[in-house]
Amino acid sequence: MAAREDILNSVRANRAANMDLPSMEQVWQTFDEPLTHFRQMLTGIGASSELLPDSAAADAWLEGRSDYTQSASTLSLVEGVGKSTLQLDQLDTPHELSGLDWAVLPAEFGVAENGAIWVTDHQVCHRAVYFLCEHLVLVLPTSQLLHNMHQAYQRIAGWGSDDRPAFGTFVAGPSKTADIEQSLVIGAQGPRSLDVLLIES
Amino acid sequence: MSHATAAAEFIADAERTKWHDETIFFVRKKRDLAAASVPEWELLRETASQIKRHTLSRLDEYLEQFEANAIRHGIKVHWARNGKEHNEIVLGLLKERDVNLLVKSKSMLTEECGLNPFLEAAGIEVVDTDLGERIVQMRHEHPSHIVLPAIHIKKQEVGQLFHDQLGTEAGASDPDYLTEAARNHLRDKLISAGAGLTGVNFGIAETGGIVVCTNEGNADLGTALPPLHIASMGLEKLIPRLDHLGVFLRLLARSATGQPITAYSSHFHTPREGQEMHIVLVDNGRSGMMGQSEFNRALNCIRCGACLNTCPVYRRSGGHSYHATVAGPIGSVINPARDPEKFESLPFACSLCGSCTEVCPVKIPLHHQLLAMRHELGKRHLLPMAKTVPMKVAGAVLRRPWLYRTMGKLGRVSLRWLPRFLIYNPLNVWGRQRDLPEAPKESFRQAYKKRAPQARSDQEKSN
Repeated sequence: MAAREDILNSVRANRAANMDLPSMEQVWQTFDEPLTHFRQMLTGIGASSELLPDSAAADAWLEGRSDYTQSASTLSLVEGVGKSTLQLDQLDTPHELSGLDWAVLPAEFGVAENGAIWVTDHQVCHRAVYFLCEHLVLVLPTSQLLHNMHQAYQRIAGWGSDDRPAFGTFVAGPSKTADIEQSLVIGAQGPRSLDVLLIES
Repeated sequence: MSHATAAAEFIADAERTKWHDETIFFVRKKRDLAAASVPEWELLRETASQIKRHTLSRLDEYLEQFEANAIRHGIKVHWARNGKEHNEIVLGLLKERDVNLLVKSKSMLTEECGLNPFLEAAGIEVVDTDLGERIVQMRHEHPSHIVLPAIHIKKQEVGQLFHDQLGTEAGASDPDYLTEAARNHLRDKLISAGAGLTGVNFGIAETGGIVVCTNEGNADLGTALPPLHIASMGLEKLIPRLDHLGVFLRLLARSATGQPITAYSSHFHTPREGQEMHIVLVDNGRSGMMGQSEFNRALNCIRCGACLNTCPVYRRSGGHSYHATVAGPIGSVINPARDPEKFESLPFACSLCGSCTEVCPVKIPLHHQLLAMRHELGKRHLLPMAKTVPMKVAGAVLRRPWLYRTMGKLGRVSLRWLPRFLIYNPLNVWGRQRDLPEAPKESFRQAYKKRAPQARSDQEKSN
């Protein structure tokens, strides 16, 4: 542990000039119509959204898509929406998810300012499913919409201090890259599409 | 090699230079639009700056807090004084578990430490999984930009590279097609890897967790599949609290590419079931830089790349001209701060226009630091003769009015009458890319004396 002590001693000896922490209680951006803004942001980041009255309508929407109904492997962890050809908790390794066409998963909340959606592996035993599926569908009740990222962190305050905090990520659109000449390509290593099913509530 | 010498090679291809300049400035314009969409943008920048400066004022406490919380959540924490120690820790972890294939997601720190060649020499296959980083890795190059690693490469070159190494069709250069080929190649690697290594965008002292931001999903795939996750983290990535991320995640992607947020902002706080998670905290000169009061705010950098995208010198000289892991204005501060002898030319690759300071999301006074670094290099006698000798001569001349007048006359006459090859001689470094102005026929003093006596006396009275 000599390295640890050396580094901490050096950091102690070189402390920068004192500065207080700023307040996080500020007037942050809000929207008159957060749902409208949220959906605009989703479009802007390459995702699609559907506003639906209930989960039966969400299920019907999926069943109406031939690319969904014709795919060989699908998984749903949202009751009443979509179907499953495999059981997530029966898999020995997350690698078996490779080749999964569609995953329909629950979202905790959305953020209007940037279209980000918070998901965790709290009840999703293999978090790889968010990233390994070809097409991702997130189901989000409209009541779970926040204005900005500050509200988002208020909402999950304390989560990171739990004894065993889950993995959590803000998903904002399908995976994408512009690494070849700045040409935007949707579908990098992760999912090729993101559909957000907004259930009115 | 000095920046100017390396840049001369880059700009020899005028068409590519123009493309590079315009493409990167387009990213800068997207950043402007994104920043303008947030009414409290300046408040965010100020808040971010204060959080980072506060953190550096008690970094030792936050490091200890971070370590304790990470350990509590089952993460193993390692400390590395330098790049060599970091590399040895990573190699040790891989060897103990017989890992032959390591997948990496974007990490400028491992570039800084030279991890890839070190592991490869030890027989471990290392695959960078960010598309841009994979392209430069396949070309045996380094990233030329901290956010857009392959921005110096044209799609035809990527097409040829992929044809040679991944078997894509000859002559194919469509970005969709090439990205699809890379996706298949990289997914194979991600699925067969024995370990995944990520960088760290933010470490949270309060929770002991880390946040990694990507667009491609490669960091998430690289950590959600293999049984070992190693995260390499520079000391300065720490922030005190979870809710501070609200500020930084609002700034990062908007400043970097003009996106409202990256596609994935992943919060890692504990290993998956059956997985091990290790964080390697790396100093490598950072703690020493904290004590340099003129330059330590450069440690607040969140690596968005906005200063590179706006820099007129970076855009027209390319990242490789800097011969450093981090190029552009921020690189021209942190590299000479750590190794002034090696990077003495970088603070001069700058017109002091100040645009970098304007766009920096954490308000690092970059152009002031670049100027201060020039003073520092002067004090350490690290300036080249082309800069010191003319200054000494000018000082001697300006101290002696008679000499100044004589030299002025000599200059006016010789500039008019000497042949071009004598004026633009090899010693005239300034004139290599520029023409001197046309010499006036008389000096200011002579012109002033010729003015009408009345005007002169009015002028003197009003003084």
